[in-house]
Amino acid sequence: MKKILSLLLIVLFAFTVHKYHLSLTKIVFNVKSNSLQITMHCFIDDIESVINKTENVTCELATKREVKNIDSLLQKYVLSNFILKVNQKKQLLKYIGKEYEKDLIYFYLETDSVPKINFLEVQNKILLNTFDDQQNIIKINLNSQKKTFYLKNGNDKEMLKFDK
Amino acid sequence: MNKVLSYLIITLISFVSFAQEEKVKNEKAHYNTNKFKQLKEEFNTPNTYRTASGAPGKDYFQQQVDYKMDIILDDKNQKIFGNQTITYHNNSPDALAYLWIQLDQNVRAADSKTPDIEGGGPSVFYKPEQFTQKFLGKPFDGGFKIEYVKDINNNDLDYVINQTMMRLDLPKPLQAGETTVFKMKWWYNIPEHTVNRSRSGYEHFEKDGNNNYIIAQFFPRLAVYNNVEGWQNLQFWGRGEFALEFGNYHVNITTPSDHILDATGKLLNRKKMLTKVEYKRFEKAMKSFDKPIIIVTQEEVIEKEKHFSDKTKTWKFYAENVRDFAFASSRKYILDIMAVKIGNKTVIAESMYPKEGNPLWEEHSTRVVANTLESYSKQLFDYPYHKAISVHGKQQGMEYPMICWNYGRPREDGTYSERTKNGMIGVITHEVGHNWFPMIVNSDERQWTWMDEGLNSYTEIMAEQTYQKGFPSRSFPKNVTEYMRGDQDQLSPIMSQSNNIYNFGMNAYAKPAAGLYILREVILGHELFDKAFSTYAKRWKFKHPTPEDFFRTMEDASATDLDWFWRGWFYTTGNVDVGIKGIKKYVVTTKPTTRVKKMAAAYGMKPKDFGPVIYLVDTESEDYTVGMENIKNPIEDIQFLKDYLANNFKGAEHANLKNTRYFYEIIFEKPGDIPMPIIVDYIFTDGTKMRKQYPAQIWRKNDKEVKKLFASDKEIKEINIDPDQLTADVNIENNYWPKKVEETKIEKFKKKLKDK
Repeated sequence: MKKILSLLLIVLFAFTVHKYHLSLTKIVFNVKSNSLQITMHCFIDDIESVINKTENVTCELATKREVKNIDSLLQKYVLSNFILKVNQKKQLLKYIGKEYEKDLIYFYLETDSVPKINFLEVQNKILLNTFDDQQNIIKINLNSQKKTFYLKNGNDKEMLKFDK
Repeated sequence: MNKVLSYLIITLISFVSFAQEEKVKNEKAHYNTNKFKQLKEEFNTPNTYRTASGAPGKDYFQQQVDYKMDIILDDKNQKIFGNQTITYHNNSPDALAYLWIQLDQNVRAADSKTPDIEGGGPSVFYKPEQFTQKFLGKPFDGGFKIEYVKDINNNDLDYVINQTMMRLDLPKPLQAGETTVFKMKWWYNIPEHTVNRSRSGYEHFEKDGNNNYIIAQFFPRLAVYNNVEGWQNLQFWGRGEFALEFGNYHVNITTPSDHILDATGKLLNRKKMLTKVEYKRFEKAMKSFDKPIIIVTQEEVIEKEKHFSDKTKTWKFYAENVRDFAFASSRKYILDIMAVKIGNKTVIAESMYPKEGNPLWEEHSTRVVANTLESYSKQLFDYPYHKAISVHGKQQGMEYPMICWNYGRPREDGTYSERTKNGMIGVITHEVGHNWFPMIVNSDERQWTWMDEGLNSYTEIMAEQTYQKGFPSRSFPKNVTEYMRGDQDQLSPIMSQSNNIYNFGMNAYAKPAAGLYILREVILGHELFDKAFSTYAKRWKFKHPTPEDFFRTMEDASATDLDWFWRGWFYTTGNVDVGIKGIKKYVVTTKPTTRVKKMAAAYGMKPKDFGPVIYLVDTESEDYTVGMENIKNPIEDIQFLKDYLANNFKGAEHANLKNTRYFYEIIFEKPGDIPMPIIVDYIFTDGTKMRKQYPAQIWRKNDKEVKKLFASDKEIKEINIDPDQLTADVNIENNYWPKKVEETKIEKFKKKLKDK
């Protein structure tokens, strides 16, 4: 509890640790496996505060003070907040794992083989509930078509149409 | 010679005429939209107050305000009482009918409008105190209670309060050069800053019942009057910080007799305030230049915490030429001090912290203060005050002259993470660093957050790197790229008033700091940048600079036109993206190309009229024929060139001529808005590499794409743009030739999992 409080309060003061809230998700079509591969990263301390709050634990990510089942907690959080629909049907996502890099945490997700994609809907609610100014950037690279968009509070999903 | 000259002239003419033919006609007139357009329209006209070179002008003035205060800290009821005499010196050329006085504590008055301007739904959660204050009709009343405002003859003076600003109506206008003296008496309820989110207040420690007071903007302070804003009386909404005048302070603070206190200014009765043992330790500390000496120990504090003295004592301070005054007081303070040599002066580096800050605080705080004083003095100018104090404040990071509050609290068992430690080193460096910007180089924080936060965040990087090489400083250019390529709806130019900024921390701290880092590392170089930056600091030491004074000084001291950089980086929300669009290989030939034939025909000449000349042919053009590569070494294989060289260069000079035989045309693209020098690593097939930097002005006539001819005696294998990530390039995918097909992170990760 204390930990979250300090993170929320800190935003107002003259100096804070990273002071903005952002995630970046890259969605790429892998021709070999005919699947969508998703790499998402955001700040470790942001994810830590939301996990501590929603799961009622006190852990420090990327330290020895992680809880034992941290991967299943992260998996649960990520999969319930990141949702893909292919051709208007909810797409099953496999949680491959997570990785830390400096102050960032990377999540890796993948689909099974997908049908020809005409419509792709991306919803990313990660951290939107926790931070008013959270921005979730999505970058898609599908059949050499590239698209970037921003999800935020009040607009957490986007539907794309692919012609090819 | 004449002949050559005439060819040259013809060549020039012909280019001009070709260019005109090819130009697509643009019917629409337009204003100058060139990104290198000078900032004449954005900048104020220079005047005798502020010169065109960015220095204070001959008529520069600033007001002086002196304070005499008697303060009582009521620890039992968490109230503060003040009695103050203010002497206002009108150094301006204008008569003033009234004075504006800042009542910053009114930001948390029961009827404050600050909560009213904040939109949004419910908070994530509410502590019981917060729920009671917000919903149960018991708002915290932290506003100033003004008991009186009187002149020196004890006549009441008229005043009007508009939120956080008080207008004191003078009986008659204060003329230029005149001084007026008046008295104020006030008190207010001190906020619990961990509940009420404030820069100043107290933290209550449930376990031992003690409070840690970090007290600032606690007295009515005069607003700034200058030639730029007139009265700077923008309301204090809680975010945009302060604009203050310099002056001298005599302050007496009465606290419980078992408190340890320190403040802005010289402690005049230190001997009386400390015990004999403590004072001895203090004398020892003043000779300790390598490590802090503990004056009040943790064991002594643990004993003190149990008793709550009813007696009081009064701490006496005098501060000269400061823009503000703050103090911190608690029974809980461990106190340590070390001495620092700055120029030929000995400066006190000091920390005050509760036992809850240990062991982190005794290990690092005072050492970080000392390092910051040394590093900033070297970068800007010698620290002019006699001490700098770091005070432990939970979740705080706030600066005042000579004293600041900093976070960094270990876990209850005394262990701490690297993140906590680095956060604390960073915040102490930052807040102590604020002594330069804005405490001494006294910019207007209410208007421009970046002028102190941005400049200070840059200087902070350098100090952190001297404290600990490789320290994870926040404001490197590569750390702002994600922010800068964010949604344009969520970005504001750096040149925005501080209350109206999105992404405050990135906008006003990291981005300007990264910009200065780019100026130093890429655009100006260390020598020019360091001189210009310290020139700005020295020119505006103990004065009130504006953004233009900074921009102008940086150009004035470096002979570098930086208007394009200020425009792009400070006045817009653009970002940097420079890349390689393509590369063409050329071969050398003596066979006339289509281009030369066309040019010759236009003037009724033949290519041979130009004499023996060399042509470069694009290997993918019509002019290219197989066999052209036969000229492998132009200086050997082309007889007339060989003859020319033999006739004109002798001996070693001849031997040292470069055997240039690889020719490329590199096409650079710039999808980003902001112009930037192109830093290129040319990597050759023999494994060597060459770095070349093209100035930003390469983009002055074509904002999207430029070509560059590159000739070498070695064959290019790879080209990398901005290899050290110094330019805040938001997209590095286009920075490589040939295009890097890197294995994706997810594929790499999957392989790692397999290997396990």
